[in-house]
Amino acid sequence: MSDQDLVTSSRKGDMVAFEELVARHRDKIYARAFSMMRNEDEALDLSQEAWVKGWQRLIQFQGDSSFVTWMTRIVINLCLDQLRKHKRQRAESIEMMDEETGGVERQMPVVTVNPTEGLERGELRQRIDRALAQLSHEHRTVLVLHEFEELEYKEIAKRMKCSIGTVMSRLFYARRRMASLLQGLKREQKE
Amino acid sequence: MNDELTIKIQAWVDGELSGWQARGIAKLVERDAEAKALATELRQTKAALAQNEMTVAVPELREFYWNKIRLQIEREEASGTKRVSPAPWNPLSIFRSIGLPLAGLAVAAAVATVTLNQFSVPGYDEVTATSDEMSTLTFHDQSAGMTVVWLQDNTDQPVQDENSVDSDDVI
Amino acid sequence: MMSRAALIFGLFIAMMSARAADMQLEAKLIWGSNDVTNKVKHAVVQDPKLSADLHRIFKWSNYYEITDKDLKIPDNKTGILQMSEKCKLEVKNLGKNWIEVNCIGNGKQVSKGKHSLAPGKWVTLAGSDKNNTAWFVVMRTVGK
Repeated sequence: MSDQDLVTSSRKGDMVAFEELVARHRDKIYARAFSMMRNEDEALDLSQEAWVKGWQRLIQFQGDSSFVTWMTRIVINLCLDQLRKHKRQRAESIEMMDEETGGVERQMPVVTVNPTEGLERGELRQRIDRALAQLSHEHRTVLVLHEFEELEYKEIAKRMKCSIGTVMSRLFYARRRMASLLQGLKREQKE
Repeated sequence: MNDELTIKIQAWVDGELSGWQARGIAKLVERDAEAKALATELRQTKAALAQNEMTVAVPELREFYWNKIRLQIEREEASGTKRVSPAPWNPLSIFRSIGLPLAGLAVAAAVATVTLNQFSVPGYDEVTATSDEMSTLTFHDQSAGMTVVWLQDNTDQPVQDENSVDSDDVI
Repeated sequence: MMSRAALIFGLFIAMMSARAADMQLEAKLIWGSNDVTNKVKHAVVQDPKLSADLHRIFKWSNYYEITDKDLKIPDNKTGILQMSEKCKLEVKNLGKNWIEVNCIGNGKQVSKGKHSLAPGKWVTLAGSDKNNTAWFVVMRTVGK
């Protein structure tokens, strides 16, 4: 059965159909939650909460996008809400202060050698993952939304409840930091 | 290069600039080595990330993961949290404001019989919705001399349930 | 000779009657949106009165003309207007400026109606589209 057929059945209360949708797409939804939260327990909780909300809001799914894209948006919003709660609770990091005052990323030397050259896909993915883990939540989020979810600046700003200017600054910092981290990881390997 | 310029170079790399702004940055990148180097780095990072996200799987067995979801759904339904359902469509939602007191006006059937400032129900045009999923509203705008038949897809209605999610929550 | 003349005259009258009952229909597919974006590739509605009427009646800020079609429909015949991939109209000329319109969306009939097309006046079929936009098919007779 296609996703659309399963959605139609699920709308009528068919839990078996919904379970099949969960089985098909649970890894993708969990992976998105994990990429944003970088914590297994939180990612599990938030991905499950996303599925519960998906069940409750199925009537809103109009087929403009794929079902998994629609579910991904739900889990992203839940993660963003959770990250905002975290932000209220934790002290400001130096990274965030730099972001407010601006400038650190502009002083980073431009990375001239492509740090991904010669890497096999699996190794590249691992490096990217390690580099992403070293970013702050805000910087990682903006990278995830732009590079992996392919959202435009305006859409990211709406979801992160900040200005487009802030999105652009965060993205710039995140990318420059990624380039620097990937280059650092490449140097580590050589040594 | 100043901060504004570096951000613009990024926006250009991302295709977020158009028209003369995009052309200006393209020319700058062509002639200025520093701008070109930055654009190259940004592009390389972008390319590295694209399609190279690490895949992770749910670290729980299928049944265990699903049972937690199912139990939560049942718990919430038992406590009264209903599934979101479409609210009746308010046909006045399609009009520009015409300065009438909208509060208290009932939907569809009542509206069709109300004579408004500019609108009157025609006595001659007949329209039938031929699908159960559709409803129609017909009105005639006297000053425009225009007859309008609005076809509303009942499966495509805006949700007005108080527990409904903000429409920003889903695309 | 008289009978031949009568025949020719009769044919002439029949021809004139048929032509008089032919309907020249103009139909436009219009898209209403609040999004002012340089990604919309279509021009705004050019007819100033139609544009003014749409802006006055409906809530959207912009109305873009997607398709513009002309169709001649003989009396008591049906013409097809394929306004877009998803939207087809079957329009029957009922005579005396009346039409019967079958609106077919995504291959399914969604409405059927009879409308009077007073010269120069528009009949509009419309509905909502995704992302808070709307589609409009406006029709009128043109010519005499």
